[in-house]
Amino acid sequence: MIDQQERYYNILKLNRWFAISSIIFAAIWLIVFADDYNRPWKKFQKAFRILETEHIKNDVSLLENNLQNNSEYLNLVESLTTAEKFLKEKTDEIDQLEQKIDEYEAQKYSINQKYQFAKAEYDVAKYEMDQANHGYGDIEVAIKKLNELDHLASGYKLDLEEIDKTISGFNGQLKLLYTDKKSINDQLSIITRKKDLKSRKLSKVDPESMTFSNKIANIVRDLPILDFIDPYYEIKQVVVSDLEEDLVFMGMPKVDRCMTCHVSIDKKGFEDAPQPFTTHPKLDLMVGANSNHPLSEYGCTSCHSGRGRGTGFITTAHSPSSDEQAQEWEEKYDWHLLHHWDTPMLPIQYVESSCYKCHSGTMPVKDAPTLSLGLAIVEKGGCFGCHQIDRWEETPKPGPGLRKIADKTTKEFAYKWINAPRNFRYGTWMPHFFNQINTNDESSLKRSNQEIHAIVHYLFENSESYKMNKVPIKGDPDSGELLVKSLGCMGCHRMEEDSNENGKPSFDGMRIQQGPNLIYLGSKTNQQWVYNWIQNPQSYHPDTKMPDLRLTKQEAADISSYLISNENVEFDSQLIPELDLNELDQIVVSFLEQTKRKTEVDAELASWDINEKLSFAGSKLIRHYGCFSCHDIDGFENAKPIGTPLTFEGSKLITKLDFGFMHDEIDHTKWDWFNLKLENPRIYDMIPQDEGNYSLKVKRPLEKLRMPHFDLNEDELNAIVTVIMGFVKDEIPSTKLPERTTRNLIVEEGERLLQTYNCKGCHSIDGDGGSIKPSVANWLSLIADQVTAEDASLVQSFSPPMLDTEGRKIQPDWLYKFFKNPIMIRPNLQTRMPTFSMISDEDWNKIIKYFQYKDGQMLAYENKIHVSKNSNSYKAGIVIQDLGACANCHFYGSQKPKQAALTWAPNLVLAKDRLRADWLLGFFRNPQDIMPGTKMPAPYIPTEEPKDDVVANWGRAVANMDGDSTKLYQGLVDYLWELHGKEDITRIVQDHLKEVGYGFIIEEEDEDDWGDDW
Amino acid sequence: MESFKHIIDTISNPTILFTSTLIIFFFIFPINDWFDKWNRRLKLYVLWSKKSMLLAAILMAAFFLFGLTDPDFRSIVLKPDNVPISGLIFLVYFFTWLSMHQAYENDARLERGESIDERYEAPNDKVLVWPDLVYIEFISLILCSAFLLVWSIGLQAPIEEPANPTESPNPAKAPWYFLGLQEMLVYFDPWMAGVVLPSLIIVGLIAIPYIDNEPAGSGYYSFKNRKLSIALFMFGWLVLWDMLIIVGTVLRGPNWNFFGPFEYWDIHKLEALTNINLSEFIYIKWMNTGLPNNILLREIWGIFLLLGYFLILPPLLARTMCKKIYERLGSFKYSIFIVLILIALTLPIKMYLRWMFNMKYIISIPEYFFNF
Repeated sequence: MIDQQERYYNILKLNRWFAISSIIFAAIWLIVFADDYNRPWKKFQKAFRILETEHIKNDVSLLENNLQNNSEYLNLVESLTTAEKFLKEKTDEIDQLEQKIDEYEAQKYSINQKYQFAKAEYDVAKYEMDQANHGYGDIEVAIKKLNELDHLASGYKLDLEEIDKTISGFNGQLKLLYTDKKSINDQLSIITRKKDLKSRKLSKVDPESMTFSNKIANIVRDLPILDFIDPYYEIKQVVVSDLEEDLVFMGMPKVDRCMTCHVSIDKKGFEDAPQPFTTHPKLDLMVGANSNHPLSEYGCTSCHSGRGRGTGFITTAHSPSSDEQAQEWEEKYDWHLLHHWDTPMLPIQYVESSCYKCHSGTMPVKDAPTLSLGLAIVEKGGCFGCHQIDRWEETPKPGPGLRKIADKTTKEFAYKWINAPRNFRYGTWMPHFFNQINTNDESSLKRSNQEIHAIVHYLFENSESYKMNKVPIKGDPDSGELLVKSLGCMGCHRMEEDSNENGKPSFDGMRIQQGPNLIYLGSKTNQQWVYNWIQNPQSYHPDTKMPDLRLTKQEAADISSYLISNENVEFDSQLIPELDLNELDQIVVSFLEQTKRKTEVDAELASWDINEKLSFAGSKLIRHYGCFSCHDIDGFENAKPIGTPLTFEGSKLITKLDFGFMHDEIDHTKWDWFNLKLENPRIYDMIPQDEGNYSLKVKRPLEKLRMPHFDLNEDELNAIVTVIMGFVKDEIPSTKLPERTTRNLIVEEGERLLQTYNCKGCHSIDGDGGSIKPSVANWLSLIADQVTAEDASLVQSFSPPMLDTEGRKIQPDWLYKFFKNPIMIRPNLQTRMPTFSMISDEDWNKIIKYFQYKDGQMLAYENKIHVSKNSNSYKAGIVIQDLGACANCHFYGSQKPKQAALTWAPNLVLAKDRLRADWLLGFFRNPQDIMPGTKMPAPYIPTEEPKDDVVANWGRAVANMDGDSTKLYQGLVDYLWELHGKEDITRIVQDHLKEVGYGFIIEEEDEDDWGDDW
Repeated sequence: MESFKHIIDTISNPTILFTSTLIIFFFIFPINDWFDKWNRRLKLYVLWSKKSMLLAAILMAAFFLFGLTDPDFRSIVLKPDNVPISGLIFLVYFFTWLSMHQAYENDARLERGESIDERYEAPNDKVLVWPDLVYIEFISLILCSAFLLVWSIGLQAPIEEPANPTESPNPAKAPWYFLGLQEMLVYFDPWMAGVVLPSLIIVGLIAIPYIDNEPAGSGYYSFKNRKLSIALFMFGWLVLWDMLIIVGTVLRGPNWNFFGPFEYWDIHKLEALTNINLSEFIYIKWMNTGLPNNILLREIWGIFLLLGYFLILPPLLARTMCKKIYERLGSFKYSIFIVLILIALTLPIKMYLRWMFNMKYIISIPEYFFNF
């Protein structure tokens, strides 16, 4: 038997324990709820609600004020009171009417019911009739019944219609009484609509403006636990289902919750609000519903990176853009790097890297200046030479070829140049390989000296001979200077001792770095080489992008004599260290022992003479430092790139980057690593010591880092890091990419070709490019005066033409002919369109198509315009061109313009082959619209004059057009299409300029000085 | 302070830590009368007094608090993953103390001729399931749930980045309860450490009641009558299992290198580890000849050694050190007992062989995936 009272524990004590533990348990549940309810983002939404309320209240009161000052509104309000007064007077009448309406409505209801019954019975009778016809029942009876019911139903229907008529009559009377009030109200609501909308919004946001029941609901909806239904404060998110988060072998739709705190990111009007409430600064481009990248389709982290699903400051992986910001965040949000997220948010200076994910085909990338600059620098600096990057796989080496170097320069120059290129001239893209932070100790310097000797030896020993023509005439440096400044050299080259611009580096600024800085050529090379080079660049270096300016012997001699007259005396006076055989042996050994045994190394070394040693070491060092990556060097045709491939560098895991001893010096982020690497490429060999000193890690010479130093400034560093961070693996669905239409593809490809050959160095297209203008101004100041040089429109008229609307303007077959064999178009220009003999027909076609597709003109072949000289149109054209004084500026074949050469304009004989009539019509109508800044005025035509005056002044042919501008301009076109004469006016222009000059009003110098050289 | 940390780091070195533990352990848990004599002479049993427990708890807590001032120590101990291990250190100590404290107390009572019933005066051996046991369990359940709730609010789940199979974490650690096994992987072939030895641990645990059916001291906490059993079990549990878990959690860093508790886990730390097999010792180091091509010839020494260890050593021990045990257990039980013990001892033996001679395997036949 069980004894129910049997106890071995004190049950009371247990009860007490149970009570205590239950209370603890319950209390902890409360903590759980509180913890769950208290989310970090709520305080932002609450703060924003207050901000938004204030904002809307301001708007409402502003609109209210506007209304109070709006006389129309006040009038309407006044007439509304009158109308209401009128209605008040008519109260009795209205009441009566309404009463009557009610009565009739009641009648209508009852008759309608009867009608419905009758109709139902009629339908039954109809069925019975059909049955009778089938032989079930009496047809006679059925017909009778049907007729009776039909009659009954139609009777009710008539009654109904009658009543309806009466009711609508009363309603009409009522409406008439209300007409005034309604129309006033309608007008009022149009005026007050904006305010009403805002007020309605306010009543949703501001608890004070709510109705009582809404106030209660407003509190209840956000209570703990109940807030799962429809809370005001909630996590807001965008799900972008076709963009996926890469979770390694698995994709998850992108979910961005950023707008949970950045509540007003897509709301206009919060531009100046503090973070996180600031409106996106580029709503037209991003985020905005009408932009190309709406929030709902692209989310936030597809561009900004970070952890979109996070809702806390740290768990979203915010990244500060500066140390100050980091410090501010640490104080404010207890911020630290989110260690466990591979793609933290991009600091704002690198955010354009994300543009590259989708817009990698374009160059430059529109609206992404930093990224574009970065791409230009990577291209110019030749990063892709050592670091394989798929985008530049086919690009020729960026540096000059060194196969014929012995005829270009001396060993001494080559030595000093390799040792420290920037000592020779500022801004060169040749980087410093030697005397770097990891090689500037005494023994390294000793070794470096001999390394350079070996490299120079190799280059000169393997140099082919360059067959050069003798310089036939002694050139004139002064005229050479004018030529260099006027012919167009400065579209691609600079000639500066030191940076004369304080401005930040920009994509545009890169254009005049297409070719090298031309300063100090006298220290580098000789006149004969320059003479031969400028006449035929490809003969020296087949891959060069330097075009042919079709120089005469005299011009070439002048230019070459000018360029070599400039020398860097300080650089020339530097001494070169002696050859040190011991050190050289050590270099040779360090390479030999990589593959050979000690005894073999010794034997080999003993058997070589000094030249063999130099040659061996040189070849090994060229491979070691990767000189062949940028330069075409004999023996390195198939050498592989020496650097880390960068095609997907932006997706590299941070653990794959060796921070070395710099681990505590910089933040643990990819961009900080890249930034430091680019700023000081050898730094990861170093150990930081006190006071900014460094000591070297234990490394043998060949183990040291060898990336050269480019001396990049902060903006350039940011730009390159932006590019690298853009080299990601992300797979972007086609729905998110820019449309791959034929047009887009052709424009993309064209833009890249224009970039490659630096067309925009001289030409400006759609407001972009034309970097040559400052040098044109400089030249103008030399041949005229400073005032002339400061006249922007004059500078433009002496600069290479702008190519806006080129596709609609030019006939494609003429353009092709022109590219192949440029002729003089603008007689006042000194700049010459060069011959780009290295551009293939394929690429020319792409360029022509680019212009056409860009301007929406896709026809390659068009009907020839046939003009009859007897037509009215042609005759009118003769008059218009005459009275319009076209001949003042334009050549008519060999007939010179009447005005001075300063204003000369293209030979009109060329028009029919060169221009498209369509475009010309538009151009005549408004030249400034199509070519902003052009000197061409719209030809005057009589469109508004009385016909008699027109007959008198312009003749019958023009009068016949009745002032129709299209017809009149067509007449001008017809005239041009029938204008024949000499096409090539080069000779005439040259002779004229030689004899008369440009005709600047103030001309101090004798223009013959430079005119001689034509 | 720094020098204290340095000392701790130094003695955390596995050779020192393991050797000293090995030496001290059997004085604290005397395995036979000789150790027991020294235990008494050194008064080591005071460890199980209440005062000692308090003192030890204070010392351990003080050490922890001191350690928390060090960033490296803090980052390891406070990692949400490792917090239970820190708790485990205290818990294991407390329960070991509790059982030993009661064992000594009971032994003393018996000596004084008193009853050994531990809490209740009467009746013996009787606790009611309902309501007593279930009620207590229920209260414990509530308190444990409350504790877990607080824990889960206070310590965020240690979630890391999305798993990437091409990027394994370094160090890659087994779940804490398998860290002992992972530690064995350092010294044994994966097949042995991962399959054979764990199976033998289970077999051994199953075999315990059949081997040890000695009634004396059974059914209550006692030590005096069961010195051998308790000391051996404690050795396996505390040293070969718990200590390896703690070592694996706290002292094993990137690349499975050893780091002192105050040392920075430097991923670049290198240790010169070139290990060689017994056959290479014999043929190359001592005999100065190349390795024989014949596998059997090559490994014959190792095979002899192991055969000797498992076949000759047991009878030898039965006649010498383990004479008493042999007499008590009889030859069948003795064989099972001694083989299990010998296998367990291979772990410390191999540890020392590795540390002292860089010995990798005694028998190494990679051709047939057999290494020991």
